[in-house]
Amino acid sequence: MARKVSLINMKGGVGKSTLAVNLAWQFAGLRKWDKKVLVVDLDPQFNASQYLIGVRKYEQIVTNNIPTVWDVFEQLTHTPGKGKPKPLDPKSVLYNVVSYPDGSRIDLIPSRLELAYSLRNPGQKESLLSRLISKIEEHYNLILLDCAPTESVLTTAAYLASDWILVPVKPEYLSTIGLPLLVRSMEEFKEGPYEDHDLELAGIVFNHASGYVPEEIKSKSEVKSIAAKYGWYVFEAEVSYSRSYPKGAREGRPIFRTSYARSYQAGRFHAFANEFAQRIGL
Amino acid sequence: MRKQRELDLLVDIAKLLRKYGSEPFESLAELLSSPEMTQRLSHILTQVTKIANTIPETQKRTRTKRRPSIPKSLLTLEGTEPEKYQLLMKFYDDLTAKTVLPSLTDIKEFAAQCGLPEVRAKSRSKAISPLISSLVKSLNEELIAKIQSISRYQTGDRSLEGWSKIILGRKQK
Repeated sequence: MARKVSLINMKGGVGKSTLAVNLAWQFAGLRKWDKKVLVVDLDPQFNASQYLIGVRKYEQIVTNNIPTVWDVFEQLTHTPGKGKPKPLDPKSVLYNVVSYPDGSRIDLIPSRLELAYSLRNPGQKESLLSRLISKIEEHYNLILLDCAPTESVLTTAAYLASDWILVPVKPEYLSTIGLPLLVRSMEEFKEGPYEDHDLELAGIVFNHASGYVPEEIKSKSEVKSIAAKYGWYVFEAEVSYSRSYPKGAREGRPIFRTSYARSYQAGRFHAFANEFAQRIGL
Repeated sequence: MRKQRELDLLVDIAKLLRKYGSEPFESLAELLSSPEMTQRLSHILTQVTKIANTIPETQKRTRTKRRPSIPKSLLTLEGTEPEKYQLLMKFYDDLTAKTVLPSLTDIKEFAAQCGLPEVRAKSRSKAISPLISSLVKSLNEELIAKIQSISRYQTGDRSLEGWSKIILGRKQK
């Protein structure tokens, strides 16, 4: 059965999409792992889709009306003159990014800007994604949900579709405040109508870490202190700051295949991926 | 001795016939039947050889360095598996012309995604021969699928302009 992990932080710009895409490549693209990975882009800004497939392929999706995550949330919405809406075929929403001869692969459920409109009329939509994922999860080892940085029906949908939450935190003041906001959101979810749903904090990972800046040291220390108090796991491996990450996004490649990326940067990401895999039992 | 040379020429002509087809061959054979034409041709070839000999040695070296050598395993296919030979020669030409897999990373990624042995070369030109050598072992159908799959591994357009057109609802040209 697939491990289902949402990458969430209530603060934007902490590197959720970059982390999600690099984890996907790490587990599907390296022979050590050879996993089948699905990335669900749950952010109307569709950064994970941009990173994974680029302009032309994304344009084909839009032009040819290939279903996206928007269709998952709107599949049961009545449209005048179109009769009773039909449930979406789960396979129709899967877009293959890359396949390897040994069967490992990255598939994507792409997002689109119009997903923001689903937020305006959120009624009864939060369970549609988890229902769809339950029909396809047997085909994957890992499902990564890249979430938007605001509390909405999409967040509840992500919680319902996941077993684990991974929280990227940029070690700086405002970013760290996103952490208690997220934990509060998780607790409210568990106290609500979905209290039976198992959802665990996989851990907090420091992203964009560079090591020696005083603000960074202070932020890390505060996060570690609060994490110890509440029993949250903090990953020992950190994802370090590197200009190769944005460059990799431009090239559509993971850090370990980005041109001129330092091997130690890729090595640090490998270390985090290993710890993450161990933590979620991948 | 003469007969052996004639036989060699015949083999070469047969290869050229396969490459260019019968029509140009027949019209050229008619042209070459004139002794005057054969003499002229021989004269031209002598001149070309003279010019080639006057090119400084250093210049020759630079020229030969530019194109990576064709792997022997590919050359041997010519007699045994002509279809595969044609496919791989075309691919080899495209690689050397950089019309496919334009960077070393592209070649490494293609090899990884096709399940071929890891390409450990440190430059693109040095990566071409090992890549071709690994592809030689593929079956024809696999080879076609692998070569056709290349377009999927190109990262393509990722420009801000491209995204802006999509986001602002304007079609790509």
